[in-house]
Amino acid sequence: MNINTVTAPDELCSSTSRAWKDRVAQSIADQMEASIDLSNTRFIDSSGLGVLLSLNKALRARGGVLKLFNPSAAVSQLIELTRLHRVFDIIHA
Amino acid sequence: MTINCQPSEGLHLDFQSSPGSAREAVLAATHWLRTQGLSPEECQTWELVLAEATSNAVTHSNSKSPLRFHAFGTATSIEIQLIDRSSGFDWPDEPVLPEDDESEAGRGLFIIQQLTDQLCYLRGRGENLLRMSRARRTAKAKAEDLSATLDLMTGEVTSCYETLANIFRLSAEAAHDVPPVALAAKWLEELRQISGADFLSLRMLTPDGSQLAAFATAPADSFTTAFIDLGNTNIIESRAAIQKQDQWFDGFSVFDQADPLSYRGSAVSGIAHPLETGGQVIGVLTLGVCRAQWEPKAREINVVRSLGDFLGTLLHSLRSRDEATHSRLIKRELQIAADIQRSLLPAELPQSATLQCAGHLTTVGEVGGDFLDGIALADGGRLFVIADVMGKGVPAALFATAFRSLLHSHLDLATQPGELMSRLSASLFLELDRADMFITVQLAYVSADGLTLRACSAGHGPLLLAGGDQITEISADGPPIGVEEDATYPQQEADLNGITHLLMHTDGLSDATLPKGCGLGRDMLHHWLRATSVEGIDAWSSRDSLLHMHSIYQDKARAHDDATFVVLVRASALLQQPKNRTLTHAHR
Repeated sequence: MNINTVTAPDELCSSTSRAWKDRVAQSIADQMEASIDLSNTRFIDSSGLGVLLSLNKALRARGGVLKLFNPSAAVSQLIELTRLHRVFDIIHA
Repeated sequence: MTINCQPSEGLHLDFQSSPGSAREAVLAATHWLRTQGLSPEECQTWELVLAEATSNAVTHSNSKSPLRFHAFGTATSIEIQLIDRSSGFDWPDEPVLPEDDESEAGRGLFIIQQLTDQLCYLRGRGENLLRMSRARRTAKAKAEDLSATLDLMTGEVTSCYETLANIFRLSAEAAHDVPPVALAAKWLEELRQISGADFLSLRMLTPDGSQLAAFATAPADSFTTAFIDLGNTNIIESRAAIQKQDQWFDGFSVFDQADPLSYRGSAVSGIAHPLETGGQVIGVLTLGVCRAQWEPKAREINVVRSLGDFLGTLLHSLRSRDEATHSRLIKRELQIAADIQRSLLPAELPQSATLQCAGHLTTVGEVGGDFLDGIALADGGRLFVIADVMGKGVPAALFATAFRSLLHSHLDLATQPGELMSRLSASLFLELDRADMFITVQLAYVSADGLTLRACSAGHGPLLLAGGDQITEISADGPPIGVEEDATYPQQEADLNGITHLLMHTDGLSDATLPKGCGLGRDMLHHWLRATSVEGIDAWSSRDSLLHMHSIYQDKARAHDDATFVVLVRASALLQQPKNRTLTHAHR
């Protein structure tokens, strides 16, 4: 099975996250494993984290897994601040 | 959006209460902060704080009135105010993260609180003010931020290197035939050192998938419970396996009475991490500290997860390899036992001028417990034997072999099957009793002139005689051999005048245990034997006909028992001589 890798936008915040979530949810609808490439994401806020959590929950509900690739130092710090490193499978390549 | 930006007076910015306008306002404010000499990291922190503040105002505001930023800079700090004209809300004393780690909302206020030095929310009549301030980071502090980032990156690289180096070492050790439990115990201790945990435990899924069995711990031998029932999802480790998800626990967790973690005291915290391979859970790695709170760094958790996953996969493959080797050995042993058993069967059944016979033996699996024999005796008579050793496999084949040897060493009693059976029983009782096994046997002696039958049974089904429309059952019955120490066996004598066909068989043929309607059954056998007798069919054709019928029923019912039978036909009833082998052997 191919793993679907989706590149997250430069900014994943309240003004962009909803539309992006709809697009991604559609593209991974039949996937068991998906990766979100965060290497180009300069900025993320709690709305963006909420979208990642929502995608993660949807994949887990059907036995799948979501991986986060290469978050920047700032994004990693926010994930750690909110303790979501307990939830996400984070891969630094 | 209206911007009024004068260095002496700070930034004043009005914008609409919508996500798009709010985003533009945040970017404008961030740009202004850069003009105030803040470092990129400080600007990014402010950008996040302002994004959370405006997002909260836009999302929760019931007002369409514009929002406003006021930003002021001093030599030592930056203060930004956000004013909205909604009815406002009660700001919590201490914003906290959601209880559910996976909750999609509820982190905004916590982030604002964490990233500001001073915070004040004033709720007024028709207007609310959120005042946020942060001390400026000096040039030295800027260098410290860079240093912190470098530390973070160095830590990441180091943890990756550490993980890889450990995986190579683990692979190398696994190739040296180290017992899996010893290998696991050693590596759990290594993981304990790396993670700073007080204890680690590894449980592997039992083959039936119903339990998690204790495998290894660090410190050694610190398991409190050998097995955990996967059906109880109140147990932390069970829940990790069932939900395939990390389960965190701390001093506030309420442990089930059956949870092994409950035995470690109330002040424990840690994580239960499911180990998977090929999408299937194979075990759970649990690590914890004897403190009510534990905040491991992300890189520490990454190392533990990566090494734990690799260790689990390695142990799983080692176990699979051992099972495959064991399976190959067992199969080879069974093949040898089957070869021995086949060599003990007679090549042909003894024919005579007065009696013809044909038999068949079907073995389910490599080795079965059925046995048949036909022996030409010194007085010209014939002894026919059908036996069924309880069970299958090597033990059943061994007892069939022993039975055959004893039988051939007591042929002086062959003309009196009752006495012969008693002797066989006395000789085999102790061995069978010790192994908790038994043998059912049917002996049939036919005199040289073909007119007299003497039969005896040890727990076996009846011998069937057919003479035209009439079917007679001979059931001279005693207990199976191996059940009673001093068993005696009556024999029954029958005049074969008027009898054309005789059938001896094991219960695998009649299939008494199969669901009603699926097996051949007693009535069907009677019907077949009656028709065979009336039509005067020879032993060979009778055997093939019965075998064909049996195979049809076996396909339907998927029988799990061996099926063996012998057809005897008195020569006076035959129209022609049999033309092919008198004994066939099939293996399913």
